[in-house]
Amino acid sequence: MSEADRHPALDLDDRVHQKTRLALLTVLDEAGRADFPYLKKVLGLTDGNLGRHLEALAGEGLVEIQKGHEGRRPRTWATITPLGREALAAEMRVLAALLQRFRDSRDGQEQAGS
Amino acid sequence: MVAYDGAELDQLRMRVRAARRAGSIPMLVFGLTTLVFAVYDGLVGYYFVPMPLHWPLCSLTALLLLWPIERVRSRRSGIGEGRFTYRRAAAMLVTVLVAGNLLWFLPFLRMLLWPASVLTILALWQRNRRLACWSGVIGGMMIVNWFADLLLLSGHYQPIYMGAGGVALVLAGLAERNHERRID
Repeated sequence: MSEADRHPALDLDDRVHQKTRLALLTVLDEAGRADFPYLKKVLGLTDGNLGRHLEALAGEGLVEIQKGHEGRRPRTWATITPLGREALAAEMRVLAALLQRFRDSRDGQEQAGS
Repeated sequence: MVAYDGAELDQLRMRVRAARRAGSIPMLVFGLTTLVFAVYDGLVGYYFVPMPLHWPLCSLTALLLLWPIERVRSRRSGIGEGRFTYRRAAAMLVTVLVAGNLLWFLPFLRMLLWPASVLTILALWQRNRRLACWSGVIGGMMIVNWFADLLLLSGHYQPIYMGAGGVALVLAGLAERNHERRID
């Protein structure tokens, strides 16, 4: 298979394209960083679910997790890394290519049918 | 499997932006700062610095005010300061002012350091389309008025249209705040 025939789905990044991770990276790309309660609220996740996905992203170097305290209260922030921004941008390019391919094939079928 | 489409991710991004008050806070701060500088210029007849630097200093003041405001907002809401912070923007403006001595001699370029224009440049950098539109229209009208004033009225009315620009930014900031509250 030549490079030109390669289906864009093959370029999806396993680390990123799972829906919760994609949403997490999108939020962090916009915010720069966010704390656990906000991420839980905006994405409707449980503590365990959020922690698991953030650990997976941190393991790949796409986000950094800083645990600290504000007064007596523990507070954890997640920050997107430059690698995380690059991975998200690359994923969005692949998704755009997939969408374009889908539209092209649908339009082709409609034209053939008419 | 594609779980999110572009529109959903755009919506998510807009929700985060609204929760950050990324449009209203800078418009309100820039608007009020512009108004204070215009009142001093027009009513008191006093420039904080030599005239060519009066409005660039206004932009810098607004950026320096936004820096601690954003820190407090970030600590309260749990959402960071975004991809291009006001601290970096202030540092860049200082660099332009210090290194770009040419701006002193090129009045048109100097207009780009006016508050609404600085806000537009910042919004484009932050990819914040709504903020760029609001501030772009208001900044554009301020520059058009400056030209008209200079050509027709010998440049005596600058404090009035700069003050009007400040009021317009404040009103746009209040409208944007309502919009953000609905999305957030």
